[in-house]
Parts: sequence; structure tokens; C-alpha cells
Amino acid sequence: MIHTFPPKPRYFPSAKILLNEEVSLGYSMMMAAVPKDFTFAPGQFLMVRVNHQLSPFLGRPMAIMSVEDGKLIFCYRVVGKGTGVLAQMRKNDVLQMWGPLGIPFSLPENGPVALLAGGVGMPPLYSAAETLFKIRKSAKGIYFFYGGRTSADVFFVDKLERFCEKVFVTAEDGSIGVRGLVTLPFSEFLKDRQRDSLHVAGCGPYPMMKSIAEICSQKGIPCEVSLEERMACGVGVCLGCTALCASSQGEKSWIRLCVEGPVIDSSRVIWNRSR
Amino acid sequence: MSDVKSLSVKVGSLELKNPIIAASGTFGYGLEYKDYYPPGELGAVIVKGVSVEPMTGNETPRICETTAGMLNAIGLQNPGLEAFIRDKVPLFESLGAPVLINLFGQRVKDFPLLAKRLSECEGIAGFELNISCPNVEAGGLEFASDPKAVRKIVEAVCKVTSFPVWVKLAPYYGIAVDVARAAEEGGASALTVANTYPALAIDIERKRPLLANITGGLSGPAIKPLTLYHVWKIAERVKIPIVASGGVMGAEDAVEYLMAGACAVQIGTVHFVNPAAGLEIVSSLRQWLEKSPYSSLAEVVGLGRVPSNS
Repeated sequence: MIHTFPPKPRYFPSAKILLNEEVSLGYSMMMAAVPKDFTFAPGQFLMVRVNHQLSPFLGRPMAIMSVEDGKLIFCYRVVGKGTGVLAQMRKNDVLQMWGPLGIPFSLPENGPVALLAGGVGMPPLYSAAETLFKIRKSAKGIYFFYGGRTSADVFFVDKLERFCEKVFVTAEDGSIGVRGLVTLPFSEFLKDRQRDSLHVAGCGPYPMMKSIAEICSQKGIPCEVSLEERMACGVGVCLGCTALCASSQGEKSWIRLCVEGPVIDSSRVIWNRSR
Repeated sequence: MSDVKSLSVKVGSLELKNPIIAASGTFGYGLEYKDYYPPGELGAVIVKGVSVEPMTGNETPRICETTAGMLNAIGLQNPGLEAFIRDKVPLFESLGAPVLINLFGQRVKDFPLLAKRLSECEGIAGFELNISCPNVEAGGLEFASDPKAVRKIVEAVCKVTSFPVWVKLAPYYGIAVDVARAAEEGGASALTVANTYPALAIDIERKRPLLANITGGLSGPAIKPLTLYHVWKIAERVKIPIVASGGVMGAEDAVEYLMAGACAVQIGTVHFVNPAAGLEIVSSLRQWLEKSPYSSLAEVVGLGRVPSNS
């Protein structure tokens, strides 16, 4: 496994924005300046606030997509008040950020890896693909499954293709790639191969995480998912971002997705009920 | 030699090196923010509330953002007394700041049971009683709206411990002053004024409350003027010290509370939006005092008070 010891988080009271632009309809990419020694592990996130404003009040958890030479990138979907304000920020404005936070994906140094992304769940898996590619110096065995409702939800495919042996694209409306859900090509892919050493990682909407967890559990494939919940502090004290999980002894308990997650072994998740 | 002015304050018998205290439920068990600043920079730390039995807490969503604040309905999640003593208490001595334990119960007798057991532990400076929880022996009526029950709790706790006992009041108009007086009569050494405000937010797209628990407690800068009112009103009716808690974002908010009559100030939600908040507030408070004509913060307490018109 790589990245067993993620770096300690740091606080950046005013990180300068280098670039903030729409990359697909409704999605933006933010590039902010961080110290050159800033590192993270794929799956980790930052808490990001519009600098020192009282509204929007809380920070937003943002998965880190890449960091290179003091330039940190995350992507976001413009959905509400917080991301709406974020989208209006310009070059040289500042963000308040702290991180990297949370448990990263446990990526194997060797063997095939399937990375499953739904819509704005792509960035942490992008970083997983890029990291694996750089360490292995090869795209072989890195498979990316990327689904959205429409073609607008699927972007940076060309960049991903540099790191991956194959990128499978789906859209529910058929406007790009295969029509349907991302689980469709993934299930096909599993049929055709020896799957004893496959490692699966996913990030996307709750129903998607639930169904890839089911597929992997049926086939006995280890699978990690990155889950989302409303978050305030990002450091484990507010107990807002909890998810119901089972321990290895089968005891149920709430884990904090900001410190015991967001990445978690999918077999531990007690999948909800009403979502 | 230049005389550096002292930030130290006294809350009853407890001497604090500065008046900034991490509020219960917003600072974990004291070490969660250690990557951002040493907890020893704070005047004191009040750790997450503990009950006799473990509590799993509420369904999610448990939090939501509001204008200049947030709602929470965590549901008092905690590992329970025995796990708390085993896993959390041993950490307290390394914090470098006095640690107060926040206690809560479902019946009067839970409070002395907790206080007695925890008084035997090392590394504890005092207790804060959270009375904003339902009393199962009174049909679920909150202790915080029942002065008689509060007096009973405080008397029972003071009987079993020699540590300072603070009572964390709920900000309920009409009754908070009576509860404050009941706590004082019961033997409390200080009052924390106050807790979060009962509140609600609705998702207009889904046409449902934003919190799974429907209602939650409002905290953050939105509540500061409301809590300042309670501090003011309660300060004129009790003699024991008041520790203010509500919406402090910076040193000036803390000074405002001191001028209203509080002798120390808790900070809570601000840590959620700035993980270095404690360090920054203590340092700006020091700068404020240096520039001020006062030689100590104790001189500032109550400075803003004029005779009330009611």
C-alpha cells in the first residue's frame, strides 16, 4: 500500500486564488497557492471557506484533485449558496483553507485497480489515478469508470486517459459514452476478468456507492468508498458528519467521516434506509 | 523592564491564565486541534459532555448552516462514563490547560454519580453541568426550565465533590434568571451563560426540516447579542461569577461580554470556521489590553454596566 501516513494538516488563513474557471456546464475548477512542500494523499480533502465571511458561514469539504509545485486544485459543482459564492471569486482573491484532512484511499502498488467516479466525485479518483500512474510509471491496470447524468457531468476525460489503461464513460441520457449507469460497464468488466487481485475505489452519489458496494460484496472484491455528509469542523469535534458503520466485531457505531473517513471499507458501511 | 499586563482572571477559586475557554462540544477532548495550535494557549478547556451510559446520538443530517451561524442536533453522542475515564481522562494532563468536564444526565441522580466518580480521577479542574436535557422523571421537561430540579442537582453534585461546579444555563427568556438563582442557592461556583438557542431551518425544495431531528440549537455570531442580554440580566441578580458563551468570533466580542459582567468567555462555533481561533483570540485580546488604559482584564469586568431600567 502507498500513503500509509498522510501528512499533518495545516491552516491557510488566506490562500491566494490562482485560477477559478468553469470547466464544464455547472462545474468549476479552483487553483490556489499553497506552500511548495504541501503534500496530500488521494482521497483526502480540505475545508474551504470564502475568506472570513459570516455568510456562507461554514466551510465546505473539497476533495483535493492535485497538487503540484505549490498549486492546489479542487473542483466543485455550483449547487448552492456556498459554491455559488465560490464561483464568483477571482484570481488574487483569497480562500481560508485547512487540510489535508481525512483517511485516504489505500492504493496498492501493484495489481489492477478500478476507480469508479460519479459526477463531482471524480477529483479524488483523478488524484488516485495520477498518483498510481506516477508511482508505477505505467497506466497498465488502471481502469477508470466515470458516469454522469449528462455529458456535462463528465469532464477531464482526456487528462484521465493519460493515467489510465482505459476510461469507461457513461451518461444516463446517452449524450456521451455508454447510455446508463457507471455500474453497467463495471459489471461487464468484472465478467471478463480474473478478479482475485482487483482493488476497487469509488466516489459519487450515495445510491452509486451503495450499488458498487453490493456488486463488490457479491464477488468478494475489496472496495473502498468515499462518503459525504454535511460537515462543519473537519477535524472530528462537531460530530456532524457521522455515518453508521459496523466494526470488525460487528458492533454498530457512528464514525466521523472527517477523521475516520471519508474513505471507508464499503463492507463496514451500514447502508441507509431512506437515501 | 516593561510590565506585560496580565490576562489572568479568576472564576471563583479557579485561576485561569486568560479568560478564553473552549466550550464543550466544540473542542472534542482537547487534542483534536493540536495540529493548529497547542491547547495550552487557552485559559481552560471544557470537554465534550459525558453521560453515565454511552449515547449514539441522532440521525443525520445533524447540522446545517444558517446566516451567520449554524444549527446542530447531535444528540449528546458520547462514549459513556467508563469509556470516558478509560480513554479520554488520561489525555487531559498533557493539554497544558485546566480541564473541566461537562456532565449531563436524564435524572437528578445521574449528575452526582458522574461527579463523584470523576472527582477520583487525576487531571480535572472542575465540572460544568449541562442542564439542557430532558428529565425522564419529570415527563421529559428540561432541567433548564425547572429551577427546583436544578437546585437539587447542584446540591447533590456539590455534596460529592470539592471541585468547582459551573452550571450551563439554557437561554430561556423568563426562566433563565430563576434557574440562575436556583443554581447559586444550590452551591454552584459559577454560571455558564448560555447554551444554544432552540431553532429550526426548512429546506424549501424538499419541503422538510433540514435537520433529521427537526429542531436544533443555534450557535455562532448570530446569537451574540441575545446571549449578551442574558449575561446582563443574570449578572444583576446573582453574586457568583458568570462565564459567557455565545457567538464570540473575536477579542472584541470577548471584551463586550466582560464589560457586560462576565469574568471569562467561552468560544465554540468559531473553531469550526477557523481552527486556529483560540490562539488568535487570545493574542488579539492581549493586544487590546496592552493598548487599553487598564492594567488587567479583571478591571474590565462590568465596566459597561449602567443601572438597568427594568
